Amino acid sequence: MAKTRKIITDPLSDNNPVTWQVLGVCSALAVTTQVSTAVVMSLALTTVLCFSNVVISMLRNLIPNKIRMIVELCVIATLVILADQILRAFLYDISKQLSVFVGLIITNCIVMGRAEAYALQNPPFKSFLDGIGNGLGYSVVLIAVASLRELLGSGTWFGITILDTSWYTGNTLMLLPPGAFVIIGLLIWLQRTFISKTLREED
Amino acid sequence: MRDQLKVIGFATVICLVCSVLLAVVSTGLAPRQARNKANDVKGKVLQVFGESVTDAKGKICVTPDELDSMYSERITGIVLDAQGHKVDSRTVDSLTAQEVNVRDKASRLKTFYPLYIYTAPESGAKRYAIHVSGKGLWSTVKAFMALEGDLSTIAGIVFYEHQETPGLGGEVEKPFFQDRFKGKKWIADGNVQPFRVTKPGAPITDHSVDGITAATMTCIGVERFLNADYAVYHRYFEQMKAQD
Amino acid sequence: MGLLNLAIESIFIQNILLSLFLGMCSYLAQSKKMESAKGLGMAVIMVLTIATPLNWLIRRYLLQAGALSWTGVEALGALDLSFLTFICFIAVIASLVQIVEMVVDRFFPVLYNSLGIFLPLITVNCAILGASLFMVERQYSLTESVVYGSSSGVGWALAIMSLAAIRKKIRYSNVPEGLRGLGMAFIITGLMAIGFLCFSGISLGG
Repeated sequence: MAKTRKIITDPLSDNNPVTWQVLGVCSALAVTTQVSTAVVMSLALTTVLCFSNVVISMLRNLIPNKIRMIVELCVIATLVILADQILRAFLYDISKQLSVFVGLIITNCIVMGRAEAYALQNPPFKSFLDGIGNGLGYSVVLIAVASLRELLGSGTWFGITILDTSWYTGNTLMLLPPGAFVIIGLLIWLQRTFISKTLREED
Repeated sequence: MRDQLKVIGFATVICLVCSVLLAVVSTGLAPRQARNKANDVKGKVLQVFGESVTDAKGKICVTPDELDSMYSERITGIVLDAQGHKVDSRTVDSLTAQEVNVRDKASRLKTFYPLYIYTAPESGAKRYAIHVSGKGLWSTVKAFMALEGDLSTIAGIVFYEHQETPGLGGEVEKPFFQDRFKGKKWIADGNVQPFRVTKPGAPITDHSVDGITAATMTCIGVERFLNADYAVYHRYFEQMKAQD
Repeated sequence: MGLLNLAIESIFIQNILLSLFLGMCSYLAQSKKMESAKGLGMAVIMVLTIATPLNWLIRRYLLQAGALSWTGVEALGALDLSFLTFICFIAVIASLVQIVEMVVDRFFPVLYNSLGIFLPLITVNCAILGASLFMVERQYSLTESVVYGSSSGVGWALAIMSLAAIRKKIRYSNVPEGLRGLGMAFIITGLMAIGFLCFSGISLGG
């Protein structure tokens, strides 16, 4: 049991996908000006990640090694299209805000990376948990960035006014791209200093 | 050889499974998606006429059925071409985003201009909504503008799509900016007046509104396309008045 | 004039990396050395220039609603395959990268030696897929898509090469320990993005 729990919790701190493995940052940041879009994006990615892990794990003994990557890509792309179609049908407003970024989950390195590194060697249930764990790690970072950007940029959180405009003027820089870069940089600093002292990158 | 056959077989099966799955799902969801898209426009049109179909954040808060019936009861749409003549072969619902937003390179005109006519439920008084759009700073800014029955006084404007800088040009979508347009007039002494979106602090007339601080380029863009698009509709309005 | 505007816009104002966050993975991983940054930058320009218009053609003549009407068969003409957009685009990009790799290897061995190892990395670079998807969303024409593709590539190469140059200098600076490497790379990118924001004041006319 402890081991099962570790599969989920591991990526949350030490192996945090965004800060440590530097995976998946790309498609994430553009949707972090509002918490609500970031949450939907996280849900979409986590779902796709779990299902792609399960499917690939189930096929792991069948997939011919030569076309391994392309099969993974095919499975992931199919799942992403499904997610996109469902968003368009049921959450139209949010799907408009996410625009092309749902499609970019296909090239998200976490999804491909977990399929390669974990799902190909492990049974479906464990792969599913790995998907949830990594999806959560991604979500935590994405939502943290979005919360900071929305709070400091527009004085709101989830659209609810927290910092009243009567005394707080939104810092537009937070809503612009540079804000996201700097916040991620600072988050990595925090994480490396307080959470995982062991991890160092050679530079 | 057997290995290769196995690879090809596997690839074929995967492709078939994926494509059948996708085709089924997308066909199944297509009507819903189409309706979402249509209702999005309908909601915006009703909103610009001051119907309370949206909540404070601009999201539609009535059911799709209510929206449909409200729309079909109160609104009729006609399509104009770039010369301001009525086009009978098209309906407003069939227009694509491209046809109503993309300008011809030489003439700077769009292919079609939709005009929505609102009939008040009790009095039968008519109001009109025109579609205006064009380049802001970074993106195409799109809006509906409602006009009173005199075809000159602005009853409201809703900027419904843009990718301008949040907090700067993006403020066009905020009520405080859109409210500034209410009651402004296009026509004085029988002539169309150039509409101005001025720098904040400039004297405000009947034909100008205060722009947004630090978003000059967006305001210049808005000013430019408002005037260009109104000019086309105005030709039709002249014909309409002549017939009355 | 329109095309020049589009080029300036996608290189500087709406830089695919600094304002749309596309292609971050390889940007961070490959910017430690100027050599690799240059190689990857060139490879991205090349692939983007070919992939974007190619995807445009695929979408226009195969996927869009009514795109198959050129076949003359009525049943095909009524099809709307746009739900296959993502999967087709990624397949096109993946196979294109392979073909480009083979062609370069066969005919330009010198180029292959400097670019070759970077080409396979490009399939998973979201800048390529992102540019194709933006090209669809913004409804560019074929010529516009060529210009958009190539200048997005130039923008991306510009960003990665600038970062590589800055990282080289910063290696000798006394950066707080936890911030070294990745953290600092992000903050530098943030500062670069602020710098690029100045370009948004350029009036492109029209």
